[in-house]
Formats: sequence, structure tokens, C-alpha cells
Amino acid sequence: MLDANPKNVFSDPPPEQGARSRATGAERARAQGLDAGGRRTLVDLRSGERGVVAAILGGGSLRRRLAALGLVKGVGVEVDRSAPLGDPRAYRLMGYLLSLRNSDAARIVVEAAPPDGSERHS
Amino acid sequence: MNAIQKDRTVTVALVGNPNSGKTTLSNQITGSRDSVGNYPRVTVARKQRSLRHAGWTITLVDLPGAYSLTSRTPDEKVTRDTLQDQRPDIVINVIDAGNLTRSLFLTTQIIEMGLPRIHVLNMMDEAERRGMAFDLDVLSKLLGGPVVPMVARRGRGGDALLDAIVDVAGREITAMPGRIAYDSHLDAAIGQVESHIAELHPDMLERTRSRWLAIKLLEGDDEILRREDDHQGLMIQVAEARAGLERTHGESVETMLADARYGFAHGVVLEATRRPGRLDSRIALSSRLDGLLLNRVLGLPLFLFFLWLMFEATFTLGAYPMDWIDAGAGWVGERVAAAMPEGLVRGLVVDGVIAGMGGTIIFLPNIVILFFFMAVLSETGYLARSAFLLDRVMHAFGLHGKAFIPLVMGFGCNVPAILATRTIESERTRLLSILVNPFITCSARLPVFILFAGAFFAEWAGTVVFLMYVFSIVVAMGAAVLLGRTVVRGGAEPFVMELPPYRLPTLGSILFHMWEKAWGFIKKVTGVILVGSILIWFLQAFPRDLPRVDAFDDRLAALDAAPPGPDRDAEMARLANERARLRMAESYLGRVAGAAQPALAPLGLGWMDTVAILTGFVAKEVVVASYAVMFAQGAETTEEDTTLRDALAGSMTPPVALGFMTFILLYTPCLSTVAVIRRETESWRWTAFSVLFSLTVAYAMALAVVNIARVVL
Repeated sequence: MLDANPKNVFSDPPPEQGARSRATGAERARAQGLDAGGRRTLVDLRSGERGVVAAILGGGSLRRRLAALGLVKGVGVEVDRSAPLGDPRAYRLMGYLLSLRNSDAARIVVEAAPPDGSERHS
Repeated sequence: MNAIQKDRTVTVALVGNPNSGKTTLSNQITGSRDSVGNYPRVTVARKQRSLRHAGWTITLVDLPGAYSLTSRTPDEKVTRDTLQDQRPDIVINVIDAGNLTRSLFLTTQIIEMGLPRIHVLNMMDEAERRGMAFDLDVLSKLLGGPVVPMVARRGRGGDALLDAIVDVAGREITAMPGRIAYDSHLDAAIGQVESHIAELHPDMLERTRSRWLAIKLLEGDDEILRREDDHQGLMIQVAEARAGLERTHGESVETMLADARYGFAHGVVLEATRRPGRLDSRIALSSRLDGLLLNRVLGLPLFLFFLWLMFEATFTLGAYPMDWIDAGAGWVGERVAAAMPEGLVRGLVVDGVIAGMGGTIIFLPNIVILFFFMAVLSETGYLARSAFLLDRVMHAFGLHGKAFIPLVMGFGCNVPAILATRTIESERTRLLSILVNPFITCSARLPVFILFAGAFFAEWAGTVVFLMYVFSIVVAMGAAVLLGRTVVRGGAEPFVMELPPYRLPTLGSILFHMWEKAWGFIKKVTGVILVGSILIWFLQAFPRDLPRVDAFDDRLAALDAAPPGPDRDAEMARLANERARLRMAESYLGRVAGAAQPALAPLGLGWMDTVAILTGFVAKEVVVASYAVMFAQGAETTEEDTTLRDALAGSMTPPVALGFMTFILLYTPCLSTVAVIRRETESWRWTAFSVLFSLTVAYAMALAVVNIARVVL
């Protein structure tokens, strides 16, 4: 998938580049008609924050690939860290690290994780 | 009697997630035993080797790593098709014991395929260090087939695995049915489709196969759907079942299947785990390392430092053995020349075959060193991190994060750089990376730039050479965007990549990688080089009968008889150089150049420049040597030589020189690169496309540069 706006890479890095880049990821997903409808998605989680997958928007190959790697409903996901340029980010789930571009992460709707960490497959 | 039993041979397929240690396992059990055969690779992705154990011949097929058995990625497709269509006698399912839940997703699909299977719980040492313990009997009962604990890296458990293979093979089982429990509605739909398939394909003996097909059809697997496309009734039934299930459950069938498979995996983990792992110290260490290596501030500089180190080692350290190989090839050439009578055959052997082979094998040190680093990078887990660091930049040009390292390696030499694209899993992105790599200016083009920049732009020589490097990057990135939107279009590929925990690589596996890559390079590339070198030699050496060239011999002979002195020697040298120049002009190569020259006339280039470009197809190193011969300077002249510079400066204008440099920069780097593109794409069509595309770009860009420079300069 080609970037909608390649110039983004070279524009002056604003103080909160990571946040900005995450926002563009969400915008892109919205442009594809995959609006999370105000619900939080993986891109909205901050570093170290934890959530539980509630739904995956859209279908096709991405959905299948995500499922093969363990991203299905009910799985606990924690943001591990961002790449230096803010995109992609690394997530921890089922005890391993997975990296996702923000435009793809914006298709994964999450709910707040139960405080006792009792969600499935964590 | 069963076919397996009769000749006591058994074909075993190794399947597992990427990073589960399949290749290490395969190397370990074949490497330390006496291998019966070493089969060439069938495709880029499939390897097969045989070994003997307890009177059996075991053929091991190492399949590419897969997370699932869909036809979505090229690697998964190879794995799926091999299991489904070639039906190996036994499947070995390699599981990372520390990553059990996720590994079992693939396992559920292997179970549903119903082939006899053995499960390997690999990396048991890491799991044990975390305090994990499993009940292997329970696991074996739930998954079907024996479970063998292993530590492939340390060579533990190999014999137990081979014994298990022989044991399963001896039991003459051809199928090992297994079921994953699905939601009752879904199960009913599977049952209906399954019986429909059984009617359509009555020859399908095992019921598990029709159940597998039914599940794949309901899952919406494009390829299986295409295969069954003729059966209209079946297609309608599948489409209706899918729509019905989606209506009643509010979820796609794929999601229902994935949820059920993870439900099964979760259940197996709960039942078979005697002791769950503590907070993992390995993950904690890995995370601390990531804190440094993926650091917001330090991550990229550190990566660039590692890259610089790799680059320096590959080309600086590699320069020593390259000199030895060069000297060795020269020595062999001299010996052979001395041993053979002068004539055509000697010319063919010495100037064609030996010089051509020497010119190829000279890349071997580069390749060996590069693959040492690539093996270390990928085995430690840092390679995936480098892609993670750079994906944002590369993605802007339609490339994958992993395409960065090969691009940078191209500044040294395009041959190992193109080999380095192997780390890119997606076929489309890999092809794109291969096609743009030749535009990255390799070190062999540098002498040409130094010669021309020195001859025409004395004061700004450094700037001009630097601009060539910048231009090289601009064209490569532009080509990536252009090709990505036109010729190499294809499905969008998400960047969904596992970052495996850091691991210390073992020396054995690194040496094995290096040996395998080096040998593969020599085997496949030499053929093309041999043919190319012989062709160019022929074009330069023929026709033999040239009266005007022979006339020089009489004058040289006359001078030789004259009394010796400095004047005579100088005159003899001049005549010999003059003779070589005329030979070149009247050879077939000179004639071809003469015929091709009109095409290059718009660039302001003459026949001599055309000869230089033609010989540059063999290797860019030859370009300077060709000018030296044509300007009658003798072939020993280098790019630093001032007489050659002066001669060149008189032959064309600065804008034409700039255009010529652009052309040299952008057209096909050398025959070795063509050979390696052919080897890596496994397609003559893409190889031809690469050559034509780079020629077109070179011509168009050179034309633009000449005309702009004429106005500006």
C-alpha cells in the first residue's frame, strides 16, 4: 500500500511526532471507510498501555494475517514501543512482540483491559 | 504392502512458524549424519535433503515458515500446496515451546489436514529456564501424534525425533484424522459441504481431505475456491452457507474459525501445562536491549553504525582476498599461456575463460563476508528490528523496511546486494527491491566517474562524483515508486511482522549459511559469466584477417631489427598501441559499436564511447581499460593517468561527458548482476525487463542531462 502522502516523512518533525503519525494512521483507515466510530483502536493506546481486542474492522488478507498471528477478539495487547519515526509500533501479545503500521493498527478496536488481567490468552 | 514400507523410504515435511527453529533443526539432524544426497533447491523457498537412520532413507523437506495455511503469502502458499498436493508421508510440526498458544493456531490446521504427524516442542531449554513444564502425554493425545521435546540449537533430541519418524513410518499409517470443535451451526455447514465434496470427488479416499476442503471453502480461501470453480452447485452451497452463518452470528466465517482455533489452542495449553512460566527473564533482557537498540534517539544512529561496520568489513576486508584471487587468476592465466602454443585456443582459454571466471570468483570474498553479517543479523533477531526502524521511510517509496539494507549494500556491489533481498518475504516487494538495486552505483563505477570528473571538471571533480551518488539514490527511489505503481503492482501487503526475542547465534548455523550461499552463488552464476566472457572475447578477437593491422607487424619487425635506443623503443611502443587501437576498431566489437553508434549520437557519443559502453556490460571495471586501449595508451593505464585524461578531454565536451557518466551510472551494472537477477527472480522475463528498463532509463536520463548541461554550462 503506497503512502497517501509521502511528503510526511520529510516535513519538519513536530514535538509530538509519534502522536501526529498515529493520527495520520487513523485518518488513513477512516479514508478507507473503516471508521472505528469513536471507539478506541490500538493506535490510541499510549506506550505501556494495555487493551483487549474487541473487533477488527474490514476483512481480507490483513484480517487473516492478524488472526494467524494471534490478533483475535478477546486477546490482551500491550503497546511495547514506537519506532523512532513514530510508525510502526511494537505490541506485546501472547508473550511475543508484533510490529504493526499505524494505518493497520487503526483497524483494531480495543476495550479497556480488566484490572486483574483475566482476559483470554494473555 | 504399503509403498512406504516396501522400500523403507519416507518423505517428511518440516512445518512451523518463522523463528521456530526449523532450519536449525533440519541442519542439525542432516548435518551431523551421513547425508545420502544433496538436492538442488526446487524453488527459492524449498529445500530437501536425505539421510539414513535405522535402515530407513528419510527425505526431509524444509518448508518455509508459516503462521497459517492460507494461500496469502508466497511462503505460506508453498507450504500449503506442498502439504496438500504432494502429501508427504509425515508432517513434522515444529513448535516454539515458549510460544505455545500462537504456534497451536498453525497446528490446528495441520491436524485438520489429517496427515500423520509428529510434534516437536523446540527450544525446551528456554521454556525450562522460565520454569515451564508440560505434560507430553496429554499434549500428544490432544494433538494426535507423538510429541518430541528438543533443543535443536544444542543438538538435543535429534535421535529421539528420528526414532519417532521411523516408528510412525513403520506403522504404515496414511492418515491421522483429527477434529477441532466448532460452533454447532458452523459444524453443520462444514458437514453439508463435506458430503457434497465427497460426492463430487469420489476418488478422495480419506474423509479428512474432504472435510479440510470444506473448511477451506467456507473460510473463503481464494485458491481452493478457484480450483472448485467448475462445480456450480457446490459454489452456490458454500456462498449460501457463508452468508447464512454471517447473518445468524453477526460475524464472518473466518472470524468464527479463527476464534474456535484459538479456543482449542487455549484449551490445550491449559490442559497440558503442568507449570506456567514465570515472568520471562529472556523477555526482560530482550526488552532492555530493545530499549537501547530501538531507542528514539539512539536507535537509528546505532543502526547506521552497524551498517557502516558491515559495509566496511565487506568491502575493505574483502579487498585482500580479492587481490589474492586476482593475482591467482593472473598466475593461472600466465601458467596456462606458457604451457599452450600461441593461437586462438590459448586466447580463448586465457583471455576468455580464465579471465572471465576470475572476474566472477573475485566477488566471492564479498559474498562470504556479507552473508556472515546477514546470518548474524537475522539469527540474533536484529534484522527484523532494522526493518522496524526504517519502515516509515521505505514505505513512503512503496518499499518494505527490510529493503533498506540491500539498497545500501548496492553501493559496494550489486551482486551481494541483490542476494541480500532474500530476507524480504513478500515476493512483490522483493522483486521491486531487486529491480531498483542496479541503479545504486556500485564501487566498480567509481573509477569511471573519477576519470571523467578529473578530465572535465577538474576543480569540482569531488562534487560531480558526489552528485552521481545523489542521483543514483534519486533514480532508485523514483524507479521504486514508478514500478510499484505500474509494472510490479499487486495486492497491498501489510507490515505485520514478528520481532523475535534476541538470541545468540551458534557458530555452526552461521558457517552453514555462509557455505550454502557461497556455493550456490558459484554454481549458478558461473554459467552466464562463462558464456558472456567468451562472447566478448570472440567479438574482440575476430575477425583474424585484418591487412591494415598486419601492416603494423612489418613496421614493428623492421624497427625491431634496427639498432636499439630510446627513440626506437618509444616508436615501437607507439606503434604497438596504435596497432591495438586499430585492432579494436576493426574487430567485430568495433564494427558493432560503429553500427550502434548512431543510436548514441543524440547523446554526443562516438564509436569509442560506444565500445566502452558495450564492454561495460561485462563489468564496469572494463570501461576505463577499453578507453586506455582505444586511446592507444596501453591496457595498463589507470583512471589516475594524466595522459589518458588529456586525451579524453580532447574527445568530447563537458556536457557530453556528464551525459556519458549518467549513462554509465544507470545502465545494467555487469553480467554478474544480470546473472544474479536471473537466479533470484527465477525468470528470464524479469531479467530481460531489468536490462531493458535500466537501458531506457539510462538513455532518457543521459539525454536530459546532456541537453540541460549544454544550456547551463
